[in-house]
Amino acid sequence: MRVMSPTSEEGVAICSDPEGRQSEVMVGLVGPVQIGDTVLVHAGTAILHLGSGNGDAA
Amino acid sequence: MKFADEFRDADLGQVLSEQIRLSVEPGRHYKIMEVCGGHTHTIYRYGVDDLLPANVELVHGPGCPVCVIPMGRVDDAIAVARHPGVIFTCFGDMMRVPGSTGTLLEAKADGADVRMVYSPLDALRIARQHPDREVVFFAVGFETTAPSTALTLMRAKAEGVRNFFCYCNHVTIVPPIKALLESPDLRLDGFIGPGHVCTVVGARPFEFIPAQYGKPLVVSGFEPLDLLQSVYMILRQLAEGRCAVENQYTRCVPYEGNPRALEALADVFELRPHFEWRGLGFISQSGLALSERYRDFDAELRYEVPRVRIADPKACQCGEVLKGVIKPWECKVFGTACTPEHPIGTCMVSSEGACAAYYNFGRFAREREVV
Repeated sequence: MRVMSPTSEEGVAICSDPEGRQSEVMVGLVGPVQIGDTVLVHAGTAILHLGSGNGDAA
Repeated sequence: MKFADEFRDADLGQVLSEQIRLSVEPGRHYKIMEVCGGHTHTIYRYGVDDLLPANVELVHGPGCPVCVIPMGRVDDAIAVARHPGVIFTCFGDMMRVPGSTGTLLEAKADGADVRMVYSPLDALRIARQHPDREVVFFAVGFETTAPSTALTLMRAKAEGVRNFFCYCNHVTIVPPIKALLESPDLRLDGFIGPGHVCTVVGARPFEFIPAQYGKPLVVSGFEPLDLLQSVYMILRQLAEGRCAVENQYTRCVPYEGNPRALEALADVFELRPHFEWRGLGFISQSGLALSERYRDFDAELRYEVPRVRIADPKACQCGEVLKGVIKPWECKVFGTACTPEHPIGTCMVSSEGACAAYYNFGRFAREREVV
């Protein structure tokens, strides 16, 4: 999923899946993320930071 | 779509298929188990098995988290859901898993407040919205999902939430693999390792497979080319007389896993002495319970539940399917009495279940495979 918002104080960021559906994702396990980064998400939690920037990513 | 499209290239698939064909010994039968339900789904969705030689057999393992939950645990979940004032939350496929007296969906129809959520964080949000109610999250899944439950409980604790509870059914993948390796029913040649579990735990926990059992394991991604390449890597090891843990899924799996996730798991959970798996029975140190620090969130301590062990229906052969002893279509009720719309067994419920995957993507090829 692509990160769409800054990370909140609670460690949550809005992320978008390839179909454009947005949801809250806990990003505390993958370190700081920036808008446009790509993360691998499982059950509402990012478990891997896949890449930075606005790549054409899932 | 980056990380997906390039691993679905049909021409490259044909090239890999030919390489696999050239790497097998004629007359030798190879049995390779894909441990993860996500792999089973991909195999049937993309017809990966159609690209393999006839003497390379893929055996489906116990890696669908919904499929391995025994009926007694579902009954206990329904008992919790029926408590007055409880809002019971779970993933959508868990709502359709049959217990001995019905499903959570049927309990909802009878009046229990059962709600589908996409993540444990959704359940915590419901707890915040309803401070006068007790909210229970039905936690299932392997090491891939458990960190999400762990982070949610850490947040609930930090916020001082008092009305949120976890009915913990998280399990770990290594003990059942060990149980299968000890089973006389199966003689496997190698394993396709669970890519997303390894994103969390790394590849190191699987080193005992080559070291103690002399079988190769290749950690694999979830696209069709990932699986074909993983099969090829296993066959190459066998052809060269080697066995090792290799990582095909390097774009996602660091060999040591995710240290932050492992720390969260160690903080929130502890191993149960034993846990019952559907089809596999009780396996030592294979299930997770909440640790002492999180006991206040433990639904099993909060609510009285039957805790009765329930045998599967006689007609259901999910146990044999989960152990890889039979194929889905060899089950007596597959596609007749047991369908995704009206499942008897768990393997027909989840999209990662071998029976549901086969039913949805491959049932019309049944005759060819039986031959």
